[in-house]
Amino acid sequence: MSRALSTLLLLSVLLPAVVGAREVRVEVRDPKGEPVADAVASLTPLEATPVVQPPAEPVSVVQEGEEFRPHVTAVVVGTRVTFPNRDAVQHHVFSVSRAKKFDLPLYRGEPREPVLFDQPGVVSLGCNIHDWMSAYIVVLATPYFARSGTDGAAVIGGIPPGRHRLEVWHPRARSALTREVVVAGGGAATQVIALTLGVDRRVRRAPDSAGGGYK
Amino acid sequence: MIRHVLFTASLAATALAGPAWLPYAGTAAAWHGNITNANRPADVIGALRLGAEFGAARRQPLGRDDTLLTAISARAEAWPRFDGLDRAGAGARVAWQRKFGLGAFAPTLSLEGAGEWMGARESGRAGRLGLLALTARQRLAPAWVTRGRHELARHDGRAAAFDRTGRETTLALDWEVAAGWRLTASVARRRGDVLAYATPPRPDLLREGRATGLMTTFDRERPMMSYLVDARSLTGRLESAFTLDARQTLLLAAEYRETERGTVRYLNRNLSLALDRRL
Repeated sequence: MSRALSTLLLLSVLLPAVVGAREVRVEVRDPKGEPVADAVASLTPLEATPVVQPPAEPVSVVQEGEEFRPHVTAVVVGTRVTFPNRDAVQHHVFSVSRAKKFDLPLYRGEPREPVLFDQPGVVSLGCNIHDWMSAYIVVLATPYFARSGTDGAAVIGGIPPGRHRLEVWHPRARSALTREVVVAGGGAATQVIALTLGVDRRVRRAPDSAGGGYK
Repeated sequence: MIRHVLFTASLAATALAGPAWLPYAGTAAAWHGNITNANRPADVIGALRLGAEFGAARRQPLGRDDTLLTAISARAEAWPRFDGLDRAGAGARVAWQRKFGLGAFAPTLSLEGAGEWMGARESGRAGRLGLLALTARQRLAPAWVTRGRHELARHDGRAAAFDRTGRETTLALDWEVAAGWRLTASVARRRGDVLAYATPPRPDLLREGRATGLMTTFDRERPMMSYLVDARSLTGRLESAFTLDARQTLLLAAEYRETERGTVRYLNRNLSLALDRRL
């Protein structure tokens, strides 16, 4: 019995999952089975190079209440992202990530120009004034992706049939989890992904002194 | 006093007219266990101080790594038990700040200058305060920040009896316990003038400092003598700050200070409660 189980487990690792669907619902859970939000699931076709068409309009990552919203944004390579500041205080948005290094010195309102994200990878954002402000932009070389909501589900649609690499990333996962899947036909299929999350090492939002710390 | 209030109001109006000024207000209540800085129990007097502050601050970029911080403020303090100590005034603060790199863990250095004019109900206590300070800040871990500060301060009183000069070095450690809750422990060493009040005659105080005048501030049957002493102080302080909402912060602090010069030694134990609010 245990031998049969071992064989089954081995096959599940070695063989790609076959999903007869043009839409894949990826359910991201932690080891306790709780839904994991803000995970980015993407499918990259393995038999053809995906055509990536960045959106004509820039994507927004807003600064509001001295936080970035949303915390995680997924975009395709070539997307321009703007960082409007809706707070009364000024922010200094920056990234030192390899995929995109930039900084937008202190400003309020709309920054002058959107930032072009032209390399795939994970870009970690911060504010150089407010230590606790952090966010991520996941830049993908595939148009098939989704971000999980509070229910842990990320629904990826419009997927062409064929073999794909499913990749799931989360800010607290040590590395992205990958799995091969085969999309075979119409309908919908579900992939359940268990992610082990590390300790949340974000800087905690400390009480601010009056005058925004300038006093 | 009216002149000072008008001056303050005009400063505040100027501040609010600017595009990037952030107005704020603060109120505080503090219990001072030994406002007379006395070293004999008969002369030790405790008193409550109530304070209010209104101001505006702004941050101007000077390139990527440098920032100019400016603030103007008006404040008043009232001592319900001893109204001779009541004061009100206005001041300005300018700091140049350099952050050596980007991110939460980049160290910061700032050089600050401040000036304040204070009026007082006892006119001799009115005067000007000047301050020069150098502060370094370094985040050690996601929840831990350390700060070091050295400052020189000078108070020029209308009456020479209230002139004081001092320099102080402070080391502080912040622990951001949870979102919206910070504990700060700090120690400070000060060397400089202190005013100690005592019922004369006090030959021990005369040996260590000089008598600067008889004071009736503390409503004693016999006036107290003020002595100006160049002393060393060591202060330990514990502060807890809580975010009440997006605009308000509550601060609780306890402070213990020991001051010494030769045979003269006295203690201060202070407690304070403050509410800061962004407007």
